Amino acid sequence: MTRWPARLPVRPGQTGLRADVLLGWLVAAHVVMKVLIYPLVLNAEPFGDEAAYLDGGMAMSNLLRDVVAFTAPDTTELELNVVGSAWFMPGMPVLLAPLYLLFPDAPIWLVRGYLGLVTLMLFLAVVRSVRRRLGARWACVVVVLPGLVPSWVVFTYGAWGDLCAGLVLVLLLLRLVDLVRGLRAGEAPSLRAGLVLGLQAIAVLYLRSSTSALLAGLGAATLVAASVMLRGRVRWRGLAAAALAGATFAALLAPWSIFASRTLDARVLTTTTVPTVLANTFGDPDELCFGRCDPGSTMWFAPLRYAREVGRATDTSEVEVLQVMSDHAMRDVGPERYFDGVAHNLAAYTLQPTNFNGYLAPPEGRGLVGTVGQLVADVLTWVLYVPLMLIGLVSLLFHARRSVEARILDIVTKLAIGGLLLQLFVHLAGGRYWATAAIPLGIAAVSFLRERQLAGSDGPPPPPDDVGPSDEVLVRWLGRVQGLLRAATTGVVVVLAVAVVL
Amino acid sequence: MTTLVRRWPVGRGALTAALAVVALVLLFLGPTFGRAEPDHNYRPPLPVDAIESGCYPLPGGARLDGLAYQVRRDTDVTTAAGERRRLRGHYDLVDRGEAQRLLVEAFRSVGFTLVPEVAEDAGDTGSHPDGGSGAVQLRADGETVRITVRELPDTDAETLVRGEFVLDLPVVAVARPDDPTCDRPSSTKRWPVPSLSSSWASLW
Repeated sequence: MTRWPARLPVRPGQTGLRADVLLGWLVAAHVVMKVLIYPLVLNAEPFGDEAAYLDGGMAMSNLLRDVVAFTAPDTTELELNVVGSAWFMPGMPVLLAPLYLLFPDAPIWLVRGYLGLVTLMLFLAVVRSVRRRLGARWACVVVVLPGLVPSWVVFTYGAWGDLCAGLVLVLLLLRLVDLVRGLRAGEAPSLRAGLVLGLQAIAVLYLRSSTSALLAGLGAATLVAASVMLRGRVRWRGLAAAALAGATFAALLAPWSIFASRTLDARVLTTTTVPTVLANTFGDPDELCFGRCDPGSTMWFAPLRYAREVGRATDTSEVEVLQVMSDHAMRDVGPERYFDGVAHNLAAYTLQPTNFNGYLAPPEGRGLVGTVGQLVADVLTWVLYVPLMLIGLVSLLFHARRSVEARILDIVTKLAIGGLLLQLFVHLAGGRYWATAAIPLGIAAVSFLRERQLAGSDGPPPPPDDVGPSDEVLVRWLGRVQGLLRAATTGVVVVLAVAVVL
Repeated sequence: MTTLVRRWPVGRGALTAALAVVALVLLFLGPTFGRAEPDHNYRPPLPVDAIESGCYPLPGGARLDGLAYQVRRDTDVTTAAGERRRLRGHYDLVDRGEAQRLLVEAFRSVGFTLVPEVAEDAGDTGSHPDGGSGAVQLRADGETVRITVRELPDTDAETLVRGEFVLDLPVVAVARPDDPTCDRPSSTKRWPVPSLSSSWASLW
């Protein structure tokens, strides 16, 4: 596609080449940072949920082995390790399967090295996509935020799916931006584009199941946009592409849903954690097991054990029991308690960026070099993270006006951030979930700063707006959508503030 | 670096084909490298029920047949009448009266006989309209068993779990000291209690 590079605003006196040079250096800096951080994490034993993902990866590699060797797969092993209690979807296990296929006894340093390599390739693919679709300067932004944030780089060596989900999500968002550009020119997305969107969306879901609401929202928004902006035969093509995207998504979700449902003898679509999570976040934990749960175990395993015991005694699926338990623990939850929980989640989500620098340490502890390294990583993380998170969140209350392209990017990133922050309303938050939203937050933050710069009286003259005569209706609707998003965000902020203060 | 970035799309087809061939070769070689051994860390086996395991058997070897239940805690406490064992559990599906009947039956079938209670709600079976906690006492060979059954608030047949029962039993030693199951609190429900008397001061 050669038409839209001409649309990207170029400052007088600056050529694209200088941005490319800077991009090259920034990518090199990211690679250097990865190499420097690797020794800090390479001997860290699996931490928390990583154990589940690694077990899943081993089981998936055995499945591959069995399929290739034409033997029956070990269903029990798959049920225990890939499904387990259906707490996680098998995105990361699928990613890890090739490693365990070649190295069935892979030591942790090899696993982390592999993860680092895979995430590097994925990140470079994202940077390349940003450069192609948004320009080299936006690519520079993405490499810095979050590519040069040390704790984000630490996460690239982790087996959790948050970071990879965030990267594939950006690829998907960029495709949506292209799609809207096409709609603007009266072109429907091709069937191939629909297929790829469906594949990317299901990949994001498999890597992090809590993105389900976001993906559903993006899908609905795209469908509405296509229906409204296209006319006649072109509209049917667009809807066909949307149908293909949805069908691809459903077809690839089905194997997991079916297998998990069969394993747990209940209807499982993505995961089974929502009832327990809600109860743990907002309910009374002392009522979750119809009283206190077993001591000596975490707030995830203890309720699960109780649910399995009740299931055994009453011949019911543990999934149904977990729902019943959660309802019981949540029966007295009022709005005040709920919003208190949300505010607490927001704090946990935003205020702990460096936790995992410490968690991913070798079992015998860090030596002098390691401790110094971690300290440097912590400090540099805070330096970059505070503006990223602060400005990124504040930008949700404003919207971009400088061009139609900027408005489209604005809406897509705000929808993504909003969809990801929805998690705060249903799920306990921790210090690693921001890794998924990092790139959209960075883009939103920089876009906001650009708007402020243009709004300032001594800023450079705004670039020529790319509004054509057919775009007036579009601009009006985009403005309305942005206004709606802004109002919704403001409303949420006000409610949370009131709940915290009162 | 910039030329690398610019020349990226070139030769992509050949590169992809080469990578695909390498991937296929490795895929078919995979089974020869041995098998991975996952530990299903996140799906531990469900512990054996505390009574079914027979590690700390009920007096007379009684079993709670016919009643759907979960043992919650099994502790030895010091009372005015000496050391006693308190086994607390939840009962499912049936109402309070039926649960109490089944519990009493479990002990009667191994030779225990009901003792008339002096307390205000004496009697063996029958549900109490206010869901009150009348205690029932049984005796055999000098051993005493007290059963107290109580409905949990806000429960019904839909919530599966419906109430609590407490069995006041004579203390018993572990039946099979060498069995690792009998050492597992997740199965026996015998966790160390920080302060025995205070935790049972408010029985419910």
